[in-house]
Amino acid sequence: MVDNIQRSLRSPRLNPFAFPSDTDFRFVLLIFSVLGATSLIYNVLSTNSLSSQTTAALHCNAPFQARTYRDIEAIFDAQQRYIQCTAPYLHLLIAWLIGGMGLVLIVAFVFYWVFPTWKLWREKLVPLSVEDAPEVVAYLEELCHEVGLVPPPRFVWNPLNQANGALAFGRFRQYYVALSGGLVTQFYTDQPAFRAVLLHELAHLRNADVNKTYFAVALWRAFVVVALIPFAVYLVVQAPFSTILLFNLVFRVLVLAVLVYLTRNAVLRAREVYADIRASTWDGVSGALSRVLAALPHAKGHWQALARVHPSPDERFRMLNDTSKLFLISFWEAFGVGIATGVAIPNVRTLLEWLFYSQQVDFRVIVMPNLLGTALIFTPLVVGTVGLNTWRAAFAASARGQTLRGAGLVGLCLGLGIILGTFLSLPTAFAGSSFTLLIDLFVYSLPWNVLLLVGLYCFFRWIAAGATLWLGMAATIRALRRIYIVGLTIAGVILVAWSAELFQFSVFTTLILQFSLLPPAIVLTSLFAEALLQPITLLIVIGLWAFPLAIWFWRDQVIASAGLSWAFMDVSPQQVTLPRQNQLRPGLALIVGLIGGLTFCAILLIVRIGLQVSMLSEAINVNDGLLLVFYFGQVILAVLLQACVAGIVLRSSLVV
Amino acid sequence: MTNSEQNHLIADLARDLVVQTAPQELPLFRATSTAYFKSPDKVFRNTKGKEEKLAFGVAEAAVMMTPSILVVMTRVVQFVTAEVEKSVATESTSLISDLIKQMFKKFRSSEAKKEQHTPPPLTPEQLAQVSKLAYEEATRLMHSDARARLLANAIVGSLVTSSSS
Repeated sequence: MVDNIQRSLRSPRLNPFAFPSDTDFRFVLLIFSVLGATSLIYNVLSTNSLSSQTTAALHCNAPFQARTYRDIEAIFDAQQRYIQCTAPYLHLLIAWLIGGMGLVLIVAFVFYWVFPTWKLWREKLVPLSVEDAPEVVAYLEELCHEVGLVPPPRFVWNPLNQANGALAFGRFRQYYVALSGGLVTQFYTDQPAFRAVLLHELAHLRNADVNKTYFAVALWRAFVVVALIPFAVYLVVQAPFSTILLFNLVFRVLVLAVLVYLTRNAVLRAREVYADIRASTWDGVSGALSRVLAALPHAKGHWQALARVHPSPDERFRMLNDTSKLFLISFWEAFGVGIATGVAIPNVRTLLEWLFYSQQVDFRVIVMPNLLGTALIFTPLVVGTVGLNTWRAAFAASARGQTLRGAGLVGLCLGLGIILGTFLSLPTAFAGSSFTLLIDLFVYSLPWNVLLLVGLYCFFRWIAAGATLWLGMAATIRALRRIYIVGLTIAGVILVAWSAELFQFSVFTTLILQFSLLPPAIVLTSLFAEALLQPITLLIVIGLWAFPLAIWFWRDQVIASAGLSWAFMDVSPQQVTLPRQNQLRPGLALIVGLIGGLTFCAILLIVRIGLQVSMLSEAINVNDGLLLVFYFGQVILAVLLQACVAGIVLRSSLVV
Repeated sequence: MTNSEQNHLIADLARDLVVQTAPQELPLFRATSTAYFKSPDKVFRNTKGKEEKLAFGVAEAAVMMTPSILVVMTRVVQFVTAEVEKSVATESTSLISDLIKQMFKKFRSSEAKKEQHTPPPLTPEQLAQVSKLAYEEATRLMHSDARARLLANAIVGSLVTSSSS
């Protein structure tokens, strides 16, 4: 139960700038997705430029594929022989792929760097001079000073452009705001409207949107020029592929292209809303921003909205007056992040794998570093997007006196996106027909997928619970930053460790289930048990309960009532408080946990004594099946007791 | 076709009209008039608002009066030129240009009234023709009766008449 918060007569707007925007992380994810796709496209292109080496490398595969193995060690040895055989080819391939990715980055940088010059020429933009409009120039200087933009951008215009608009663009340390002739005339006819439009553009500069936006655009264009077009030409000219492979490749590239395009547009739409909100803080309640937004023309078409880089005027107007929508948990966004991650992970994993294989490093040695490397790249992005969203949603729910719902579902959506993304990733295009892929997905990968979904569901519920607790400590915006950075870092570390374990589990189960003659149930349970017994698993579990409970040490500093000026954008005549959280009771948790542990030990002791007395223990020791039953029986008992302990503690209102 | 002297005259007179009828467009005048004399059609190309990244939104195009004022004034100057040429058929081109200028109040000084080559002011019939010409042309370009009327009246007001001379 939570106390109701005090509300002002007019609800003030939640401050979206209290948290960093997740769009930064989404831009980085976009970059990784594009580079990952580039590496795989160049892999396809390499069959032509490295044709003799490719042919030689193919012979390394046959002996390995032809056999199945009873012994896991034998599988590993065969894999190692395969690696040694392909190492020279992989050396060249890696250089080729890195070259391809480097080329995309260089071309992207060139596009980004020359774009402002091209824009000025293309749109016939010239500096807005004092001779032409002295009052406008003076006003713009004053406006930049008012909003604290130092140095101010360069103002350019096209007097022949009769449209009523402005635009921010530029590159690092060289920013422009372009005005149309129509907008300049508005300075004289409707100055508040002119001011509102300019504040919006200055807000883009203040929000540091220009570099990220135009580099992302440049990267996409470079990808099209350097990767997609050569790929299309190659498919048409060379066409050495079977119909299935051709379909697999083209389908995936198209889906990736559409995904990147739609993600890019979604991010740009989000930036427009943030710019509107920032501008509204400068424009004030009596400003014209709302009026100007309401007067914007409405574009038609629901599906066309996905292609637009601005939200509808109605949506912008609503967001301006009620920012709470920016704090909602978004299932579609989580799903989209999941797809992008799922598409990119196999690409990066394959690349890292080849990098290690080219050095002929032992397969067993590189598995964990490879998986850890992949997890280290993507986990921060997932935590930085979906995790940060969860923190923001927890904050908004707390500020409104509500309980955050849906965090677990966000994790599920993320997991489903990852699974779908893995299916759509380019490496799987070479795996054969879609039927083969579906078998892989729903049979060999099923244990991994189930673990992924359940794990992410629980993980994001955990993030939400931790965030709700720790937000009570945020007396200032600086304290808030420290808290969510620490919280997300801990979440990131836990997720990296768990992801690496999960990837390893996935790699070994897929390999062994495909090539081993051992019963799948035994393989899975053995690998799962081995993963559970790793020290890193223990560290993960400790981290999961230590983070939320650690707040008990600062319990006296939790804000009982305080004016949270940072939480809201508009000055409220009344103080707003976060709801008071129930006091944590770690002592109760410790006692109940100890009782649960002692109960387990007592039951185990009784069972062992019983087995000894009944002479059954020797029968168990010599029978593998009974031994497994006994072992897993203990595990199940432990799990059940822990579930009871958790239920008792939860009922005692340990956490909200 | 107009020559460069006529262009200067048109620009001068059009600027005054912009000050009178659409002062908010004055900052645009220099660029618009330069573009107009280079290529008259280009200033009428409909600049539709388009959606751009980091712009405010899809902006609607405002209807500017300056291009229309330039066109209308060009027609008026051409008409006045023709009328002056009829009355002083044997004079040189430069003298004709001076005479045309003096048809407009702005350039007609009090001393000019006493000069021998001062052209007679426009008759009421001629003024009516100018007004009709300006109004029709403005209506065609601006699709607004009120604006066309405003412009036509301003143009007529700028011309020297028998009562003002």
